[in-house]
Amino acid sequence: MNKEQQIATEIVDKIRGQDRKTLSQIYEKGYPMLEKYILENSGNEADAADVFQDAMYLLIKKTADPNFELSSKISTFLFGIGRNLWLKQLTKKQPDHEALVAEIEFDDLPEEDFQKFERTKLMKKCIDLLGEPCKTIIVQFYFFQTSMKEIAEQLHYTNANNAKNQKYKCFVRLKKMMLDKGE
Amino acid sequence: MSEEEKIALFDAYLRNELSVEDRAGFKTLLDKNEDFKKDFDAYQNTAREIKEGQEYGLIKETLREIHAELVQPKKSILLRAKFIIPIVSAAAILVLLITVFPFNQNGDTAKTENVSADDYSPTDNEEEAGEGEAFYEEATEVQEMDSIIHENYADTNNENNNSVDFLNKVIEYTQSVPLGTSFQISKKGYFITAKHLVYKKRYVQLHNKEQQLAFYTEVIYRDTLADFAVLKCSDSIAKLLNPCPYKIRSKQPNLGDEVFTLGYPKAEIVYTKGAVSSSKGYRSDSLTFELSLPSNSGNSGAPLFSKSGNFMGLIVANNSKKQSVTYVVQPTYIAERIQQLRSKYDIDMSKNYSKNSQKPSYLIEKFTPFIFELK
Repeated sequence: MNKEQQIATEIVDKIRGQDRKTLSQIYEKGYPMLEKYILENSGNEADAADVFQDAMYLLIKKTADPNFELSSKISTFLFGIGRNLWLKQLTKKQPDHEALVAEIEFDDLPEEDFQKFERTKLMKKCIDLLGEPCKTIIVQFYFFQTSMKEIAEQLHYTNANNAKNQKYKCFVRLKKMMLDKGE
Repeated sequence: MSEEEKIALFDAYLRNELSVEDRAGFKTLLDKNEDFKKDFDAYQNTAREIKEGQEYGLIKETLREIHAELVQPKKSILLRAKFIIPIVSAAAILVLLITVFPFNQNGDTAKTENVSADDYSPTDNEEEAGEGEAFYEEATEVQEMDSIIHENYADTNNENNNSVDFLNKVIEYTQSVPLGTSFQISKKGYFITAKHLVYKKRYVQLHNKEQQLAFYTEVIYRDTLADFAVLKCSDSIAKLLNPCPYKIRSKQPNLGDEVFTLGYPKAEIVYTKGAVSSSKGYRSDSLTFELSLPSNSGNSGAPLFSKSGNFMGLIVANNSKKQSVTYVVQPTYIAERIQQLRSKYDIDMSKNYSKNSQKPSYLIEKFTPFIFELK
């Protein structure tokens, strides 16, 4: 392994570990380019930030794959993904806009990954909309893998069964919200 | 098997809580029964999606923070002539802010950076400050307190699920000394406080005895220049809030104006009055102004009102070397910043109304429900 490759691997490791300093450096380098593009293509600063952060998220997720290798500069990679995300967002509003559709390149972000990402975003929205105590129960159980017994103690349920009962109701509600697309 | 039992079984299997025989039975069922297998796969998929959704939220949160650190708001107040007068350049203000800002009394940064300005002390309750970072776990705990206190506060006599432990917890919580003060600015659940009180924290608790409300809020904005931050509570809590009896408007303080504040230097609300003593703040900082008003720890983050009940700014610090000198962030600066934030957040202040009166007791009674202990 030569030195360059070694540095690249180190960076990928840091991204995977969500090292804040590294993320901040990447953000600083990559953001201006995408912001400029989005501002020139009917978006505002809030759109640019949102899309760039989504691209960063996808980069972090990609690094989770142990076989992931950086094939281009990180900022180029982020710009590619961000640009596609933005074009897709635009075409959602104007599905017949052929010029836009033609611009989308699927290399950086295959349709399958994109659909999965849309689900993830929708799920996040639904979790936020769940309200308490459902949000806590669902997040504790499925994300932090906390045991039902501990959740029951945390939330002052008289026993784990009551908490389990409540968790089931929350789960059903969350699934229904996902089906209704978070409406 | 009902849907609920099925899910309980899936969980037990996935968490390795089944006995050896049951586990074997489960596996056979998976092999033989296609529908069962389908349901199991679907369940695992949803569980994964929940995990990813939550992870996405947390990553996004970090990135938003990074964004806020890196990208400065373009329209800077420093470009406005009237704010430049006493200080040579924007750079000078920034240097000043960096060197004098107290941030956190116990934190390492404060130890090194505070040396050059040891007479500038933020009015928070020091021993409580700098408890470190609030992470998600802590927030969950807060939510927990949130629901407990809110539901049971109203009738503490109700013995339903009140164990002695629980009551003690509530009593301990309500009597603990607050870190500082925060106040409501919008019926939609937005609050203002001093930035140094929420240093390194994502969630803080607000508590108001008058309204019998205790809940957690998220720090959604930290100003880059002035010592102020914006907090937001959940929408379900926001529904319980009333419109504020004061308006956040641009106001120039005049020398000699009589003012008063309501804050929490202890676990009870405290009224203090004074007068505007200088139109510029610490070392002639133009974003703040100076009061001749004795402030104590815990007054940080409290609102300042004119004698007749108009909002006049946000108390952030006092001068430990001079008696009764308190610094306040200009209402004009706050009003402008909030205005800018409205493009991003639904800080609806249209319901706020003015409650003018010359009678302090009347104003105190009207304002108290909107001023919170920050814990």
